Amino acid sequence: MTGLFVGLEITSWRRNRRLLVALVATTLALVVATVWATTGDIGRQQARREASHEAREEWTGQGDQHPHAMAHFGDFVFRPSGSLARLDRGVQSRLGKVLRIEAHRQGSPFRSDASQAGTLARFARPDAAFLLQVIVPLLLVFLGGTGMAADRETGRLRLSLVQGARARSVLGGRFLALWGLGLTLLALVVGTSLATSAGLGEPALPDGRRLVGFVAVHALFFAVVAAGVVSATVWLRDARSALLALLGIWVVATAVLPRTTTGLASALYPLPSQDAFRTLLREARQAGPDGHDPRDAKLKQLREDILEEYGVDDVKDLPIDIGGLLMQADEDFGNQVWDEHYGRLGARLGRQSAVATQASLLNPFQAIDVLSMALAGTDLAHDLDFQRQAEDYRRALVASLNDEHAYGRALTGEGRKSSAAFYAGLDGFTYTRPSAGQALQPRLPALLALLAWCALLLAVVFRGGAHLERGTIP
Amino acid sequence: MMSLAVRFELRALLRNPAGLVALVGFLAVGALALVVGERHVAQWKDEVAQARLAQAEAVEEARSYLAAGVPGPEDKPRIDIRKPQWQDQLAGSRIVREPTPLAGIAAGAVDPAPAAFLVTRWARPLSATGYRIENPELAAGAVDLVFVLTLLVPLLLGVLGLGIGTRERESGLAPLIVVQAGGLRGWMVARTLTVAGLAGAASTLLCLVAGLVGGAGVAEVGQLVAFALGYTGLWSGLLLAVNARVNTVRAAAFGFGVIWTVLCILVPAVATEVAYGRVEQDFGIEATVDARAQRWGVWEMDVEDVLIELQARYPELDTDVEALSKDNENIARGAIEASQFAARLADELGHEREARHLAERAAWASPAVAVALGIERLAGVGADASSAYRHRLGQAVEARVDWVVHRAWADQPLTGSDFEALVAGTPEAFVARAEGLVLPSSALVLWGTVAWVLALAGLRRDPD
Repeated sequence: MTGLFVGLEITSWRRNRRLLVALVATTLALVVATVWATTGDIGRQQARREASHEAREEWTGQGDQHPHAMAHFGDFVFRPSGSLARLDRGVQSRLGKVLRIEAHRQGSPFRSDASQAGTLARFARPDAAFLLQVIVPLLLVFLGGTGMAADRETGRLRLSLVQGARARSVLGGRFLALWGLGLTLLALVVGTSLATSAGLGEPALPDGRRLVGFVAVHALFFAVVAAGVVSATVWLRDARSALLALLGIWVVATAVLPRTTTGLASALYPLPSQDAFRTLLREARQAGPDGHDPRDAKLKQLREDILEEYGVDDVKDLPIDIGGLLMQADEDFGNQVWDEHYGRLGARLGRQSAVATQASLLNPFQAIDVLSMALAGTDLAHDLDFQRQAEDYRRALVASLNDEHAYGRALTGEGRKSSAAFYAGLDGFTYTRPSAGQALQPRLPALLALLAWCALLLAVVFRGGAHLERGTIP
Repeated sequence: MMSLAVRFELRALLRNPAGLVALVGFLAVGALALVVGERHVAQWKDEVAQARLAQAEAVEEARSYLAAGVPGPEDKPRIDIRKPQWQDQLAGSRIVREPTPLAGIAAGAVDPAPAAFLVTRWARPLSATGYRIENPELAAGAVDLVFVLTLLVPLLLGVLGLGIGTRERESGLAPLIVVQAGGLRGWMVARTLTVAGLAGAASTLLCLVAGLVGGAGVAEVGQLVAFALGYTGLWSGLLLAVNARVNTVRAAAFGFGVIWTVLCILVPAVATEVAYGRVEQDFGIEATVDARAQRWGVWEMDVEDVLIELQARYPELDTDVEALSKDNENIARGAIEASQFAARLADELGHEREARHLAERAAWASPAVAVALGIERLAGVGADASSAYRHRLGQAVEARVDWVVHRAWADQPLTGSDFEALVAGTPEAFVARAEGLVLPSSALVLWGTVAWVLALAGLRRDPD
């Protein structure tokens, strides 16, 4: 019986020309957006590989050099795309793509796409996730928003019940039709992206677990939307009220609440300005040793300790190059300063994001947004993880160079230079993505919220069915 | 007819909970946008004040060394304030960027320039990022007055005005209106204008409050109100055009919804994709890897080649020297590096000009883009303002490099008066000018005209 009502619902959509046009337009938009985003992401990854290759070529092509010269020659690290960035770009466009790796210098990635895109950067980008999370629910509202209420107004519902249909079957059929449409569009998006990737010769399945998670959370989200639409049409008085209420909820949930959360998170956990943060770092750094100045008073004790360790009275008599050790002392101090200040900043950023996650308890649209970004690898947590790994790489690289400076071939090499082979032997940066589970862990409240919303709204639907059968809803 | 329509609409508003909720909600979100904007401006001003304080402290510290006759801090023996490269560092010169009175209304703009910039011979304006540390997850959803006007004004008009004429047709009251009011056409226009008046009054109120809170002048507030009212007028025309052509409220809602989605979401989104498509695959090889190679090349050049390059840039200097001090050699190499950077900055500003032209073309395709562009320019924030500021920074850095080179070449120890002259020569604060408003205004006028022509053409089918 439920299947019959699913079929009836789909038939009614086919017969309504306007709704059919909207459905076809949405489907086309999804396909175009997915192909565009997938192609763009593949191009981006290719450009990133080329940039990394070019940077590496330059590094290994420097020939024999002094280690500290190479420490300042440095490296560049280029941000990789999120695992499923072709489906959900998240906040990727606002994140810097390039990070400078150099001794005595830490910073944040720069050259974000948003900073170069001009005024248009303030508008949304229509990737598959945006369409699935904002436009498809609107489509489901128009497709299902008036059906039940219109059936009540015209007497069709009473006719169905009199003929032996159960109200729950009617409601179940509407719910399944809407949910099925959402799932079909979701499958279309995923299939299009995989087909486009395969067509361009890229690996079709970058991360299977994350993809399964992406599909699962969106399926859950569509269940919430479908149940919400059917609930509104059961419990509200007439078709117009149902449609208006659903549209109002859509506007509030997609446009107003997320922005209100932004203001709240910023007010609760304000961030320092760029200049204030840089000034703080600079002043803290200046309070420490300057490895470039052998006469620096703060390094005096270290010099004396080294002289004592080697049993000599003069730096010239040391069997090592003390410069390497002084540089590393400078570096260690800088790392401490960075860990303290940037760690505090990172914690504050995390607390802000936690407010957004908690807000998703009230708003399933925000819940799916944060879950989708987390699974796609395009959220703030992934950015901070990338920066942390890049900083670890920087520290390891600089420590290797300082070590070579102090103890290595630079001591005896011609012009105190180490060989090109040494530099080529130092590993470049490779980024290890967090697992799907690690990515989801901070967003568990959002997942639980979606599950709760789904259960609640389905309960409301079934309760509505019971009331319809008893006749307590006319 | 107008007074009848006004009374009718006001009564309908009071009886229509959805309309009241929409109007109150609009004003509430607008108020939130103003609060967020003012907080953003307060933080910006605070940063400017801190930058000025940091500069004052740096100058005081340097003056104390000069007064005491010492070269610099005791624990940093290589610093010598008698040398130009150290006076450059110790002057702590900053060019601040002050917010305009209306800066808060576009707090959600992507603005990559800082609020204050430390000018030294090593400063690189391209590496300076925005004045805010942003949480990217929150920044994408920032609420400002631009958002309220571009996205919510049409929705408010929709809630208040969908059904004008169509409800009468649906319920069979249209002939009654023709008989009693003299014509359905006039009735629909009058009611639409009333609804537009309500929405326009709400937008104007928000604009006036924004101007009052920011301390803006009459001209600036007038321009802002003109944008708000022009946009409201345009969407009123589109609302009337839809109502004139359909016979049911549902069809009107659908039609207006499609138009809103296309003009406010999809067209701007397509334009945004084009804008991002230009930069997404650009990992800045020229500004990073190639620039590093260039810089390295400068530091590996022979001294003779350095002097030749320097001569080309500073023909007035006597570069025919027998022995170049290490300091002057480093300064010369730094100057060559700085001129390479200036060329890259000019390139980057060229790319930003292209992004600006793209936004201007998009303004003709979508009134939402036109209004966003116009208001950002009026507010002096966003891509255009940041580009102008970075241009000024580039000029200041070039001037500072020139100063260091000339003082180093004079080869005389610098004095306190040299330092005071350097400090006094710090460029004034930068305040973005409201330029380029003609194009977005013209786009808005064109769209408004088209909307009302369509509306009046659609009304011709109704009996008068």
